[in-house]
Amino acid sequence: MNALLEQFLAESREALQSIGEKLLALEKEPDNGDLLTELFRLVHTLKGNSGLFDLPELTRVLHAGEDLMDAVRGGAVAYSPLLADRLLDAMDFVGMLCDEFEAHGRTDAKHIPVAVRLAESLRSLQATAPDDSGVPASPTPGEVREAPSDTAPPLPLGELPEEIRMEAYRRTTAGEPLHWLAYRPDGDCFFQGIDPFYQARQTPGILWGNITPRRAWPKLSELDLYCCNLDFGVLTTAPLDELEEYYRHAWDQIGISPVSRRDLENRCAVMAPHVPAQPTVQPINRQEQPPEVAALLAAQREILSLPDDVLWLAGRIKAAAASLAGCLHAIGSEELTATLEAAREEALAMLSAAPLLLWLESYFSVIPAASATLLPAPSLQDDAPPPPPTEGGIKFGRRIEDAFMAAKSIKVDQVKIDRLLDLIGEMVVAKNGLPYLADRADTLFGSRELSREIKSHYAVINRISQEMQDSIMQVSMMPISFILQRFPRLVRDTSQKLGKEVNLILEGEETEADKHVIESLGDPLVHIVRNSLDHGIELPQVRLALGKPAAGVIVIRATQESDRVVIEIRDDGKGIDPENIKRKAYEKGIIDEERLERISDQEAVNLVFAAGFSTADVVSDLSGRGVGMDVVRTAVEKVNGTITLESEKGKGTRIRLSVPLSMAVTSVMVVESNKQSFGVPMESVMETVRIPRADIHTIKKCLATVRRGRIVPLKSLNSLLDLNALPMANGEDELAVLIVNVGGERVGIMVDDFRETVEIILKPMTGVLAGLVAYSGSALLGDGSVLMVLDLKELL
Amino acid sequence: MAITFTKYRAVFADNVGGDDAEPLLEWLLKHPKGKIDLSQCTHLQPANLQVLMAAQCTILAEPKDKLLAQWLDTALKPGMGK
Repeated sequence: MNALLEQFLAESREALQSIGEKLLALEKEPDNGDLLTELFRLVHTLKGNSGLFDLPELTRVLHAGEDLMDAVRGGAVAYSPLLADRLLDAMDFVGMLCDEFEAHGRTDAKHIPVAVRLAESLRSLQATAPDDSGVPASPTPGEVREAPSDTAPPLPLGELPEEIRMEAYRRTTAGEPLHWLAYRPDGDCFFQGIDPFYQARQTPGILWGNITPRRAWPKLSELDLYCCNLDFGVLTTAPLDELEEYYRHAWDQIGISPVSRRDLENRCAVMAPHVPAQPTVQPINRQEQPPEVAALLAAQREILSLPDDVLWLAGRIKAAAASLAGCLHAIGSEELTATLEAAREEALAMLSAAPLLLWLESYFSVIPAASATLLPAPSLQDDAPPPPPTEGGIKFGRRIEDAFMAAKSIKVDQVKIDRLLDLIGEMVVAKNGLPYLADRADTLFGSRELSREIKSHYAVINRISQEMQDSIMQVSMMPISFILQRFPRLVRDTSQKLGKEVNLILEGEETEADKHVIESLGDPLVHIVRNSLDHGIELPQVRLALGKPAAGVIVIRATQESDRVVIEIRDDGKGIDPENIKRKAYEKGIIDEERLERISDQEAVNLVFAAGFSTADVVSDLSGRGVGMDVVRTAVEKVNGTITLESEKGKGTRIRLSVPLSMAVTSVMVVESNKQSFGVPMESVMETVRIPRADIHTIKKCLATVRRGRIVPLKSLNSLLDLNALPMANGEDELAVLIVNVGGERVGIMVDDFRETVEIILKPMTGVLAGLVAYSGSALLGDGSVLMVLDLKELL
Repeated sequence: MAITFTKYRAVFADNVGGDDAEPLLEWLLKHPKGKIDLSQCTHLQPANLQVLMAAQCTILAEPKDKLLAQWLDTALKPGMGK
């Protein structure tokens, strides 16, 4: 199931729940305008959302509900308990459809009649209301309702070509259902992109079709060619449910009537004059008959409909004819006896009950039930569907004996999830205490076995806690689309304002990260994209002059790299001119003259992240208030993220944000220097190496070594922290060097020794310690000691 | 454009869409005696059909598509010369 559908279903259930509550609240105070407005809004939203999916029945019911609520809100219709009842019924129906849609990914066409009836029951409330104009609020249902009734009865089978008629006759004899479908499309259907002719041509099981004008054609010069004036008729062998399914979107525009063999034979009767002509006597209305006679007739009808393949068929025909003669006598219609006699003879001669059945049908017509204009009267061959329930019978059994759907998702307060995250974090730390305990058991108490057992237990707890941590993190993970979804609009609006043409490309929207991280990225991203729009992408004419396409491109791409999410924002604009940056930075006093001389281009473009820097010549209302990129950097660093900028003049700019997937637990590498332990965040550690002292060279007072073909500057942690000690070498005169990546540069840090990596909860420094910029925070280790975690960016 | 207009006839080809109906109407207003060749037509949007029906124009050739021809037969009988 796609995310959109999931969201729709969750929202719909919520809305249905609220609608129910609001309706009940309205029962207590029917004049509360706020409640009415709220109710309308809910129904309106629900209807709007349903349009996204293939749910015509649902949309139909909600549309009627929306119209009704609009009338109630406007005061045209008064609120009544009946209205509440019907609306609740309609909402139960909607809920049921939602369930079905969720379970099967589609809804059954059999719901269409129910939807039509519900919609009508809602609309009828509106129609009976004292409407000032006297015009029903929605004329469509009344208009379309005519369609089946005035086109269905006289089946235009007279036009049927002979070979089609034969084929149809053969099919019905073989027991296939035969239906005549009258399709009267809406007058404005062309404007809705509907091609009724195509629809009719594609009708399942089609044997033949015709097209007739609804009204006489006007003069050609007065023709409204886009107002549909055509009616379509289709003779089809498709079963009823298939037709319903096919025409579910136009359910109120079609009428289906079963075509019996008799209908085809009647046509035959017209063609062959020697067969007795159509009866001139009016068919006897069944309702005028005494009930006993009606029962008798029904019984004969049933008997005659039985298959003809029995030995006693002749007896059956005689018996039925005798019964029918009796009936005629009973109702005083003896004048028909002759025709009955003829039918009996014919039946006996053909050894088929059909002529007698035909006689029965001609003279004792079945008065269609009230619903027959919409639902075809059950034909004899069909398994008669149960009659549709009456209005009062439309219940979905969801109100009282509500079988509560086990909701697939629950809403949880963010605070509770945060608490869980905190707890699992502490558990991870507490778990880290076990290896120390194992060591103590071994070294202090000399019990190796106990130590081993503790260690094996530790392994189990470690596994469980890791899984637990993963699942809790999953809970608070969100796709990055959450913040990216606002960008298409932002880019569109902003670029229009600036008179620029920009195509925005979003990639990797499904990448997930912790909710806090995702949320913290929202503002920085908006800032970066605005900057790109404002300063990056050039005006169309400038771009064309430069040989670029008129429309600029901004790409936002999110990817996951191990335990970090990398978001790259790239534009193909004018890029950043390092000379310009250098000059501005110097003017604003961000760099001094000496630095101005030495600074590299790459360093220069990264100066935009310095506080108080803005390059735009004119301060616009979009960006360029001088609080730009340094705010972005600060926001990203707050969630332990990094930001780098690459730019090529005239080609474009690329900004990479890298943020951790989750902020709860950080993994650090413990290093030792001058007999103290320090933590270094794992994300900046590139490799740990031991370099022979001979391989360390001095270049202009600075230490450096060559590693993988590159010169890596070396710095001693002791000297960085102002500790008065030299790095210690091991027995083979090798120095432990931690190669780290800081702002895209590789630096080697000389330490005394490496230790294990641990997962910690990083607590930021508070109080007076907050002033110590060399550390990003502290953490409690399993043995109870405090580990200081270095902030390499500040340190180097 | 799936309809080609010449001085005396409009030739329909493939699937004639709703946008073609307006030029067709204009052409028929200008050339009331214009004739229609449907032989290469596979489907036509009903707005076009409405124009043909209202104009009662002469059909030079029925569609080769038998099923379509059968449908149009019911709508354009006078034009088919039957």
